[in-house]
Amino acid sequence: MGDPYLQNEVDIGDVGLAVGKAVVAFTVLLVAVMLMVWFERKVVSRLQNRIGPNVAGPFGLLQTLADGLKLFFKEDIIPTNSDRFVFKLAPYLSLVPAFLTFAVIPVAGDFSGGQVDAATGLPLERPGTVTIFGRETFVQVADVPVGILFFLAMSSLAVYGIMLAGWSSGSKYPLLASVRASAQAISYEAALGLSLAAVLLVSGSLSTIDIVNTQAAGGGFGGFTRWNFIVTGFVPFIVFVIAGTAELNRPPFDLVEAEQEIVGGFHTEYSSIRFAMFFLAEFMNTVTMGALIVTLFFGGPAGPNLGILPGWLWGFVWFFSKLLFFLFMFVWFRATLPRLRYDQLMNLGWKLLIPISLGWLLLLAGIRFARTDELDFADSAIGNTAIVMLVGVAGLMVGGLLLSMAARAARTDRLENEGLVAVPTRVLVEEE
Amino acid sequence: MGYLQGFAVTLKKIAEGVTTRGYRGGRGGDADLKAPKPERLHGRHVLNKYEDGMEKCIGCELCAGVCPASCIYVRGAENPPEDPKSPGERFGYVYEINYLRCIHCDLCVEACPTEAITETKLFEFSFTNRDDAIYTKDELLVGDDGAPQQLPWEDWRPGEDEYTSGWMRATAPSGKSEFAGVVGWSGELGYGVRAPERTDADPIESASNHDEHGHDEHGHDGHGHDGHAHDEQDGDH
Amino acid sequence: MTATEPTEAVTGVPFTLNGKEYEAEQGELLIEACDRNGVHIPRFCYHKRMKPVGMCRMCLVEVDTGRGMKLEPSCMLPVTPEMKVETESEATKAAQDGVLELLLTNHPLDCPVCDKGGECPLQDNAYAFGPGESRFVEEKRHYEKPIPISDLVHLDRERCILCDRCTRFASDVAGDPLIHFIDRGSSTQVNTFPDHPFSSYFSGNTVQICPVGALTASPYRFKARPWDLDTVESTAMVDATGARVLLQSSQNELVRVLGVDSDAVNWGWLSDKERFIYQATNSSSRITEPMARGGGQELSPVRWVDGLSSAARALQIDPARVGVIGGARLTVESQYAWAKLIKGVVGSDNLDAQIGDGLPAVLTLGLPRTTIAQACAPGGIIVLIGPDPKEEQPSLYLRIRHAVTEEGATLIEVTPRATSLSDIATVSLRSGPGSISQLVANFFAEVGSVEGVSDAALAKVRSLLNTDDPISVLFGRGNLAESGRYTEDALGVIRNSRPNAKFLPMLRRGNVVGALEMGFSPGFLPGGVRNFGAGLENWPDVPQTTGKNCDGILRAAAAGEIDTLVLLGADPLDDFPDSALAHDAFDGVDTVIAVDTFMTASSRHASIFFPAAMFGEVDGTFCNLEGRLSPVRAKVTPPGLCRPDWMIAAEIGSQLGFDMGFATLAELRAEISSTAFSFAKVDWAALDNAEDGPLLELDRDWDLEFGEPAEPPVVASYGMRLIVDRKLWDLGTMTQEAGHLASLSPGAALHFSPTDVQMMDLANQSYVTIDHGDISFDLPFVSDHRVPPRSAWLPARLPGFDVRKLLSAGRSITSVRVRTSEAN
Repeated sequence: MGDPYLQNEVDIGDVGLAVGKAVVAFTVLLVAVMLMVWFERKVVSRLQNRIGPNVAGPFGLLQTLADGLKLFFKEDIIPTNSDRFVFKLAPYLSLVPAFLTFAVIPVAGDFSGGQVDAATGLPLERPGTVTIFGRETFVQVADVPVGILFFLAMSSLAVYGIMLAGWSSGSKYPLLASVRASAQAISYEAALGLSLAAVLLVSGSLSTIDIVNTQAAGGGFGGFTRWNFIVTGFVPFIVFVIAGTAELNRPPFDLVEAEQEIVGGFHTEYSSIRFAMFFLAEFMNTVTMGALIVTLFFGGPAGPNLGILPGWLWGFVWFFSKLLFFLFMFVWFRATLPRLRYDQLMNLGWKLLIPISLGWLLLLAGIRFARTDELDFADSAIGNTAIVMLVGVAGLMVGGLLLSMAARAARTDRLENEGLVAVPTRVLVEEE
Repeated sequence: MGYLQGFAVTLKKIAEGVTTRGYRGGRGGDADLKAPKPERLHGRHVLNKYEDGMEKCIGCELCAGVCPASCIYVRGAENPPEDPKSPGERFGYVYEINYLRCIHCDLCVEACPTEAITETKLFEFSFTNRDDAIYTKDELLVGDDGAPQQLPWEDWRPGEDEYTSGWMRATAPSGKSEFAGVVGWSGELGYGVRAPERTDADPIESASNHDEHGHDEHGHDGHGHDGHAHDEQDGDH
Repeated sequence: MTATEPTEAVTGVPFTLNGKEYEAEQGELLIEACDRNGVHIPRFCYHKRMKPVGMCRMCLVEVDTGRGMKLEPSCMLPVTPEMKVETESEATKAAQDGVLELLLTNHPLDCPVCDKGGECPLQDNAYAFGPGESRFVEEKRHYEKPIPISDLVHLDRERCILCDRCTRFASDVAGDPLIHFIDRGSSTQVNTFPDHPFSSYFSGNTVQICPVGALTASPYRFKARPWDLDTVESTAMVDATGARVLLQSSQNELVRVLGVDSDAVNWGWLSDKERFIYQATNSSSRITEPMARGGGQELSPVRWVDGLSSAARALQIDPARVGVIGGARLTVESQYAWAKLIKGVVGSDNLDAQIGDGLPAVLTLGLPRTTIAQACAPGGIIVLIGPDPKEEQPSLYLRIRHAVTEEGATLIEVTPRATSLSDIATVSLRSGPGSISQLVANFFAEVGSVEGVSDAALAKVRSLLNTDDPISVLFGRGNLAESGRYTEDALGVIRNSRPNAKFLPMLRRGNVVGALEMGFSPGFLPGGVRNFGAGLENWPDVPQTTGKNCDGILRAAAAGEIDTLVLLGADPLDDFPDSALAHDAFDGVDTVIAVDTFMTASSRHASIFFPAAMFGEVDGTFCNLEGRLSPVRAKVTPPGLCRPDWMIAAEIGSQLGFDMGFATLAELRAEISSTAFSFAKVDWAALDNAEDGPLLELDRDWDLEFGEPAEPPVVASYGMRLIVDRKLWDLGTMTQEAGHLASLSPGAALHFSPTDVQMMDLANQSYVTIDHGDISFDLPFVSDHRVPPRSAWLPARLPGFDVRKLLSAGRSITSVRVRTSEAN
């Protein structure tokens, strides 16, 4: 659909608005990252019965700033063995995609109206806009028609940053870690994409604002039944969360940058500002991923307008609270879950998430097709749907069983080839 | 369900609150708290004195010889006849411990034949330069009341300087438990004298119930000997 | 039997030890045989160098000599053929356990305060062989502890285990039976005689051999623990015997010296001077920086480079006007460096290591040398001409004493006064003034009677010497008040009469023989080269005419012919036997350069003072009177800016524009080997590991020309002939700087024979006045049977009176008049 203020002729004011929005988003993102770091440290501490930073600023709020300043003044070491140009370039390759992804996320707006055309499923009006300097615009930096694809592209680009950082360091650990990190990233991209596809199936558009609109139909408090989280049937949401955590290199998938494992992973040789940029990029990605989950599955800024505040601000409030929940969830993961070993990580990605998300996508597609009443298995659309569902689920289960048997057999084979005895993956509990 | 139980565990921690103690290194006023110390904590050493003020250290260098970190420097000297520092011929003329090397293993305490060197529970004695790190005899010697000296950089709370005197090992060197808990040397200043530890002969009764013959308040000494005659109808044991 | 080397190991004696067959040497003690075969039997009273007594019973082992297994003390049992020995049997272990338990019954719990703790055989044996716990609950015996039995030794009777080692040593080895067992039964204790402290010259050895801490040395008391000590093996430089020692230090300070058993030299014994002189190295009066007399007339610190350049300027004069005295305190390497500097670079031959109290170098270098072992061989013949060995070379004295008392050696001594060996000598003769050569001539043929010596004694000597066996002659300058000419003549007589006689020089000061080998005497170059003509490689300016000895240098200096006098650790003002001449010499000299460690009377006159590193701080080599090299090793760092002597020589050489060619000791040694013939075959690298050092090549085969013996001078009837020699403890610089030794020197007193005392009616008096020229002095006197009649004995350098005032260099004899004093 496009941003309203760009539909007609674009004048200098529009350009200024676009630039202004970018600047504001940039600033907001940076501040959000700072707060995210603080939030993470504080919450993790509380989950571990400790206080967390409490010295720099009230409640330790300025701790990140202090750390950043410290990093700024540290010595910038470039190893002699490194490829200097790539070494210097890699942090930016990580940082820039992180910024750019945030550009397509709607942050505020009044979606409480929620009227959708019953036939097409597309919203009638253009909710979610605000008027700035006389120009009507969405509260996001840019509404790209291929927004989600843009996000996928950016996450692919980020892999370059990691890979080149590790390779250009000229040292063992970073190289090893970056190879693993790239493998991890691309493995989970598939699962990410497939669960994303489920969302796309339901919303019918790649544009983020359309996805939000689709979920916001119904308006008010009834609106949440149309959230993709429910509509896609929970599973894609779970897969997306897991795959997203893996994409972010966050615990429990942080093998490649954990100090206990591999010193610092791909950013071992980085110091000072360059390290700060990787750090920044990682947390930006976290915020963005959280925002994306909210947008894709929970309706983004959608929520009722409860008065007092202007409508678009309510959108921000809803967006922010949902985002907070998911950020808390990421931190919760960090505090609770032990780290996955690399092979466990790969197994999870390839042998569990991809088949499940693929299977579910097919199921969803089947159900959708069944509801268009073009099948002849039953009399009504509902009957068709039910049959398709049953058959689909059965098929999924059979497929899953076959897959797990195959996996187990392959594992036993592999271990025997290496001369090791396969241990049963499950411990049998003895009866007393 | 195992994974999800883990989430519940961590979430509960928020409700439990923090276990951090607000130790401010002695500068925090009321908010400055310290964790309680175990009874046999290995801290800073002191050189003890007898009740009459004579130093226990005889300058024999056994502590220096056994020290695995080579942190003690001792030189003995002849006791000046008109002003003897220790009972006997010899006293510790130079006695220095280098706390940059000390590993607080307390082998010196075990080796000392006169219980002259013992360890207190004071371990908050961070110095800021190497000269302060070498504690000389004047700094290590206890005062006339048996209390350790507090140097300007040490962070103490009231009551922490007790229990500076020698601790009794649970077994005597020969391994025979009859000698356990029996004070081997003459009395001492008694600043925070520890009671002898439990011996392996009477594992259940607590040490503090023993009087000097090893009898507890009922007159039992754990060896089957009563302090008084048994009566069949005696009901309070 | 003492363990002497068997002259012919004919057949071994087979015996069975713990089931295995071994062979022992003839007459070898069982305990030694087991030691040699790797089985250690614990012992306390047995000492390899003393006769066994079997007192401690620690060495009990089960032995079957043919009548069944029985416990025997292995230190008293020579191995007999087919003996069966069990050192690990139950009975043996029970015996060891029991002996230790009994030894520990009265032994006090002193280990923490006892000096021996950590190196105590009683501790070690109790740990290895003893009971784990004591059953002794009674009161142990108590004594006052410790009691100082001499200035150097403390005795703690509670700790004594009555092993008899100290008493045996004192009476058998040292010949000073001042310490012995008193009382009996369980009250037996070691003690000294009332009013007689244990002032033996060898008291320190009892401390070393005591197996417990009963005898402790005062200088070491409470100083350190064995695990604090860092050790290096070195050689004592106190006298020319060169006893092997262990230097031990803690915290970079010398704390102790122990004797090392060297079969060739000292058998682990040291004199107290060798043992405790290390304290001088630690003295705080050490001069630690170069000094010079600047514009003012006071010595003040200067930089090395300034001092060295001044010294070089002072040496850049006519070589004949340069004199160098001293060098016997230096190591061989430093001696070579200085010899090269003075003789090779400066070109002066006025260099003498002996300070007028020795004998011409040609005798030392040229007379065929024997070794101590050969001289003290069983049944050997020793002729002693010179001073009392106990005062001047105590370690050599112990060897001679052992040879005479234990090995049946014959000792014929010709000395001005009776010495410590006179009681055990086969024949002890007193040489009258100037009459040594007459006496000695009578040893080989009946020449004529000699005053003061019985003809019967001379006949006995003739019969003793009437043999083809080689005789060993130990020679030295016995009387400083008499010209050395008489001793030289006597040596000439011996050499001519008995060509196969071998000689051993007993010269004063430590490394004097090394100095002479390095050319520290006029007319010689290193290696004993007498011919200047050939010159030496690397020595640019070898002198062409023979220079002056110390006597000559001082005379020339007094006459104003010497401008620069270099003192290498020498103190002529205090040591030269003519103090008047010495003072005149120092007045006549322009510049005195002193290379020394302390400010002595002579070095106070120095214009330039270079501080040298001393014993314990220098690495080098020592050459003893046999010509045997032994290593001198450094254990502590020299204080302040002190440098080794050879470095000073090298630096002065470079200031004079000549590169001496050595920057390290290794290079120096290589040059010595290539320059000095006697050192050509020395393996310097093996010196540290050689048990007994190598002997130099001393077969010089010189044709020594001796002149006619001089006639004995006429002694005025009213005069007493003066006998002047040295005592071990005197006002010598090192002795005075060593804390515990400084007060040991006796005060100056004249010794007369009892007949003289009676004749002069001095029975109830304590003082006499001696007159000599215009000197009159009141001195205490002592009646001493060791002094022959018509002689007065007064050792030099004792506090109270400097007898050298009465001496004059070059005078044949000195006599003094004695009269009663008003000071009585």
